[in-house]
Amino acid sequence: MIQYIVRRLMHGVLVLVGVSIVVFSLIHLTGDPTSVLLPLNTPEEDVEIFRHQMGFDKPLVVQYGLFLSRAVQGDFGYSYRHRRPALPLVLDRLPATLKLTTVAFAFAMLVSIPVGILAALKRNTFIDGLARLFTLLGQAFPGFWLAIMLMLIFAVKLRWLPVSGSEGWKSLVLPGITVGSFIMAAVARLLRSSLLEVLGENYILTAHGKGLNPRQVLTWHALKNAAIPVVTVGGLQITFLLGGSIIAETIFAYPGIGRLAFQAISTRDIPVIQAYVALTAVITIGLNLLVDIFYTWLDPRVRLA
Amino acid sequence: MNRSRTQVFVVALPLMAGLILTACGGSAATDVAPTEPPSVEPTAVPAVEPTEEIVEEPEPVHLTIALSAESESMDPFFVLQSAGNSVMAAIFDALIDQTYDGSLVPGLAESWELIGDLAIQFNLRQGVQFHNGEPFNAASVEFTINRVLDEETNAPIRSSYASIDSVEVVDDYTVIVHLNDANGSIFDRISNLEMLPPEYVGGADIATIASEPVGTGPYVFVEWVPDDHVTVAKNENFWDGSYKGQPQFATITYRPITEASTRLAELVSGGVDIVQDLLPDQIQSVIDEGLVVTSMPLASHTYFLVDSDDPESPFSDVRVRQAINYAVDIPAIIDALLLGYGDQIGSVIGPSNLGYNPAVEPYPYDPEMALSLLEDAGYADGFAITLDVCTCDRTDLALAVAGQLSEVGIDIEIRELELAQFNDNWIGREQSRMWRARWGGSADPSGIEFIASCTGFITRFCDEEVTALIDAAKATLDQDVRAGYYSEIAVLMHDNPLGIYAWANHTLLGLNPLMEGFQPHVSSEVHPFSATLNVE
Repeated sequence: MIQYIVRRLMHGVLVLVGVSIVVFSLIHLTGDPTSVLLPLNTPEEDVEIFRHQMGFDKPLVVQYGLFLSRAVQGDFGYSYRHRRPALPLVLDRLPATLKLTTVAFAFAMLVSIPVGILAALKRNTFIDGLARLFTLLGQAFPGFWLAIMLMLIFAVKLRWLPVSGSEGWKSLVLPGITVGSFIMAAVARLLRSSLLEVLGENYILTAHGKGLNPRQVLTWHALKNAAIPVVTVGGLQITFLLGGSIIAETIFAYPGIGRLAFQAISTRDIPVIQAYVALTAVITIGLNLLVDIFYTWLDPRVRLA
Repeated sequence: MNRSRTQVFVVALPLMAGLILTACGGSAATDVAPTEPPSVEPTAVPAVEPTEEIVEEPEPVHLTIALSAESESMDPFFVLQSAGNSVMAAIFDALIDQTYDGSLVPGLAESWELIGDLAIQFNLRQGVQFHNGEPFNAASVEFTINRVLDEETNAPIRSSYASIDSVEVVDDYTVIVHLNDANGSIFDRISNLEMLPPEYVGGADIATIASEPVGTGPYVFVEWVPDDHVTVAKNENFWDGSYKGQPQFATITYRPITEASTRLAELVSGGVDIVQDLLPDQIQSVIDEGLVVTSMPLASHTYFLVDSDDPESPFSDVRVRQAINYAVDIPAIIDALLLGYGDQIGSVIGPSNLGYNPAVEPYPYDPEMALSLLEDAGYADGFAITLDVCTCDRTDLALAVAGQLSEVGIDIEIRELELAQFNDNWIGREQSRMWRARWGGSADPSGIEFIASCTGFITRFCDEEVTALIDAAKATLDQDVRAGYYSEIAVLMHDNPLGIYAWANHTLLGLNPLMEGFQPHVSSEVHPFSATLNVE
């Protein structure tokens, strides 16, 4: 196990370096950040002075080398736009995004698990149909439409919740539901079909035969096995969420990491982009590792190769 | 271990070793040392207690403003957009102030006079303090100007002050600014230069200056949570004599909300008191909810520029350029798509500019005239071009113009570009034959040189007479003489257009109906200084 983890972590470092090279090249392919950092009417000599001060006139390989040597020490440079250290800028947003992700995921699980189970147990009944319609709508509604609808109904008309911002737990509700609704739908459907498959297995029949009551059969045997694909999908979804939910954050003016990244990309703020990419890569690698380890508990047949 | 694993190790080990060595190698001499972001503690907002006297202190009033973008920085030299500059206007002052309609009035300088052609003497206001207690005096002015001119500071606004050669301190309250060349718009530029405290800025690191501003303005910085809000509190010691009056609000909170519909929702639900940059189609909703809309024409104009300097372009012929002006019904577009919030312009000098010439009339809608001009120029069968638009502005406006041009035989394909790419093309002269642009922003029209002078930095237009006038207007500090030159330019460029003259943009704001006395500012920044909010 330890050997496996160490090997995975080493692969992770390689992935990090590879990702940073790809991102660096892509950004520079789109052009020079100077045109968005200076007013359009800046004379050419001043543009050159600015570029020299920022180090843009060095060869790309040199620029990347300098970046990497500082990055491993935790210094991602200063944001071009905000003039503050890039990594702390990104890290500052992480708590807000973590809160939103937690709320979204909690909402998704609280709704999808009962719905998925119910739909599987009451298969082909009216309740099943209703549940499937519910999940279909959840996946079909575009995020921005749902966000604006929720805002109009609950914030503007009913005034139960704030329209935007990040003050207090109330401002997490609407963005959380917006972000969670897609996952909720996906997980519910997946759980339903996975559970149906498991319930048809022989060992379930055996469990009933042993005399276990239906609740025990469901919880101890069926769900644990049905959870496997759900854990995969759920884990993937969390990683996406932790990269920031740009639509919900923009519409609800929520200061998460997604908005910061989007702005950084639009303004070619390379230090911030690199810091963001490094952070999300670390989170993704870490989460994937945790999910894989969790598997071994869920399914003893899985050996970490 | 098997072979493939060995291969992985052979590649991975040296890379890992290299990374680890660099990581442990200690920081090499870097230009800027990484620092932790400074923790900002909000200063206590003065609590008002009811006194025993007959006259009760009014309840502290808190104002909330929704801006359309986040401020780039709290260092005013790095703030370019009107959203961030709205915050700067509350915290800082300049030697010369620009009031709501763009006129220049005394700010931190009580008066100024020209000494010859290349020097301006500023007589500074006495008894003014920065928020941290430092006195405002000649040393502050010298420090501020030197800082903006210093290449090390690398301020994006530096090139605007290139005409300044040096600052001479005569005494504590008198400075003489020496110029390299006579630059008629220097007063306008100086009105955009926020005065900084030398001890604080001189001694702090870049990150602190960028996040904890100290100025002389009517409000003191309290805290900045990036992408969430900036809060400022009343400056009890704000100096008298500013166009900003005396601070009326206990605190002002600026919230950047980039999504227009969310800004509107906040106004309607009472979450904010002022909303910047409403869209015209939101106006009816605002009025229906009993809220207030206010607007004013800006010095910023919308043009559809063309590449008239390319001999192969149809637009190199002045008749074609006149034709496209006749071909488009600008008033109809303003009515239908901007709901009247726009003023048609007839030249590069518009109603808010110095030297505005009312005798210059905008082009009337006359497609027959357009067709006949195109025929004269040899384009009876029309031609096809591409129109570049930036996604940062409404596409439906460009579609409307393109539609009308197609009716005189000019077929247009619209290409939408992101701002960065759009600007890159413009600077590199790689844009399509026509592109929609906003230009201008200051009552002082000297900025037209970039697009209308033969030697302009991003110009695609050349007229010798116009260029001579632009240079002359720049070379004198006498504002009346300059106005005369710009009036002449207005006439010449009406007859020889550099593209389609569309409209002067309007700023649109939504207000809490309990707000009184609010005035929009010609820079499109939000200056709530003349307003009060009656909460009872």
